[in-house]
Amino acid sequence: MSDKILEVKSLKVFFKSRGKLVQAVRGINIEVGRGEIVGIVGESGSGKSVAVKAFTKLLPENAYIDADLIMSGGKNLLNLSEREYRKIRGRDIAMIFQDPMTSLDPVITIGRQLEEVIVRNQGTGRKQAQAKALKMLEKVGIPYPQRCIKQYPHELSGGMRQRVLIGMALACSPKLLIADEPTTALDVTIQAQILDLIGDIVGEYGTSVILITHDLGVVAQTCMRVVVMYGGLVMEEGTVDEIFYTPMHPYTMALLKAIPSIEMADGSRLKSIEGFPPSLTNPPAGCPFADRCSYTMDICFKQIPDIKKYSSTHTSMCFLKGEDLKAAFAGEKYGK
Amino acid sequence: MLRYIVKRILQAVPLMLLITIICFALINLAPYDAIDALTTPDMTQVEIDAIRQEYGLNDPVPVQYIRWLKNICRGEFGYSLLSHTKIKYDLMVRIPATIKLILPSYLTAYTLAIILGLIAGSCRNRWQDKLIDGMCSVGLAVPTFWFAMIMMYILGYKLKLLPFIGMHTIGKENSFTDYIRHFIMPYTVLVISFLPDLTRYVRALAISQLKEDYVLVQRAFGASKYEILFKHVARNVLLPLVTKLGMALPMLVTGAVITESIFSWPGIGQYFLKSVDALDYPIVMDILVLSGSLVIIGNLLSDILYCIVDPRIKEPG
Repeated sequence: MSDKILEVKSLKVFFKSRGKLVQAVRGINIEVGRGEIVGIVGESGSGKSVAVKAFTKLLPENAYIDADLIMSGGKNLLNLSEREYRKIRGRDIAMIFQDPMTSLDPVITIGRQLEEVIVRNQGTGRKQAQAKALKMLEKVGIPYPQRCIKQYPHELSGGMRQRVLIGMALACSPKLLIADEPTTALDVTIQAQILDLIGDIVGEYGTSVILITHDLGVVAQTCMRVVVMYGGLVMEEGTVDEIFYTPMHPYTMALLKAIPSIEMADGSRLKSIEGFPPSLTNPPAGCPFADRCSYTMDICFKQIPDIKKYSSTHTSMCFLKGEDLKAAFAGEKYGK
Repeated sequence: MLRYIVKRILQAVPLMLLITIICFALINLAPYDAIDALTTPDMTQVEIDAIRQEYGLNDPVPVQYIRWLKNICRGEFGYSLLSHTKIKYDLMVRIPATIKLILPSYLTAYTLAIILGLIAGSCRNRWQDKLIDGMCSVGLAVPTFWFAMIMMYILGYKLKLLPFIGMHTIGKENSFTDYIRHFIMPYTVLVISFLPDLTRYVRALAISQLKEDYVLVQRAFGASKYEILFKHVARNVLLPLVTKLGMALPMLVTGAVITESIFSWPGIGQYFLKSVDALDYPIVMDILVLSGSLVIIGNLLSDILYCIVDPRIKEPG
């Protein structure tokens, strides 16, 4: 934790849409250490994707970013011009996305697309770039790299394309890899392979990773630390063990309970969190989860709770005291 | 690939036949007797009947059709009813004249449209886009003939800069500068008339391409706006544009009917208009068949081109 790759303080992101202000992210702090894999979990619309896109300024034009600090590799990204930012993208922070099927240019060969990125970010010649492209494809487990570089994206399966994209992202040895739901569009067997691949490569290159997902299973399998987001705020943050074994927030608990387990009795229903996430155009004054929480008190609707610290790594944003939460959660069963 | 092309050509044959049948039938249904063009009021009925017999106009319609079709297949396009010249020779002079006018204008408009469309699409809702899109709206709304006449009035009549009739000054048929001077005005009019539609098309394509995921991914890998626009978006936009190119083929014959007749350009459009006016039906039929065939050939061509340039289409059905 001493060696921070990314440090973000009170990040806010707004969208202006038809005269309305959508508050997608309402002040979050995130830190990523060297070689660390941090998971960001949350429902759809909790602001997780928007938050990471703000790190790389990849948001649409109607987005406004406000933060006290976004530091990456010793550079404060807030002061950079678009031109300087381009040098950060791909070199310092690389990103892979949800849908590998549409993430590659359909009319250019895989080889050329990889070479283009390598030439741009490393300033090597075409020949060297081609050799590097081949090496990367081999590294990410493409069976016939020689053939693959001549192929077009449509000739590859989704899993293969995601491998290509991971190769592309790692070709320039970035310090941080942001993976925005990299396995959501893939089937489960491929998902495991891709996650393993990310884990392996991170180990090898020492790259830090932010993994966005709404699958807690994925988090447990790959991540070291977890950030739970809801309604544009960070609800709870901690190591994987802390989040899974001693959750300190009712929302985290609700998420954990919603994981289906194999031991579930036949005919029992999947648990879900009742209700809907809050509107971000008109966010509630209090805790965003108050409406759906089973431990609500009056104060929950009036103000946003302070962040409580439970250990050097574990923080949570809830009015309930630690002991009370522990007592309340004691009886809960979920697949650990 | 070859199989596909052969298959498409075979499919085109019945379509071509259908076009000839429709052309022939329509002209036959027209409330007009071809014999009127050949006779004079002082001829007797016997003479008229003799001419009718001679031209084969007493035969049943299908027989006439077959005879006409056979001739067309042999490259025999018949004679003009009015001037009694061979239509084939007329066409051989007039088609190149039209091509000389349309081809440069269409290609200019096409190239300009790609550039302007890409600029407008990538600067969506900014002043560049508003300017280009606004000009397109104006361009679409302005009738060709009006614009042509305004040009003639200002450049030709008022300022006396350019000649506004024909293709050459008599006696200067071989002078290139003279040709260019005649060429400028109709060329400009045509470019302006082709441009708005094509630009809008490119703009719409560019906008939809810029929304694609790969654009965001490229940005995430440090690509600049221009790299994305010219290396990736342009390529993806050009694919559907190839189709437009094939479909523009029939324009080589009928693309400038109005412009040609306004500038008295000795092309096929003007020829067509004159013969329709005079009910010179062999010419009308020939040109209809010709442009109909070009539509089919153009479509065939764009399909084939498309599967050559788009890697995603390998073995189309």
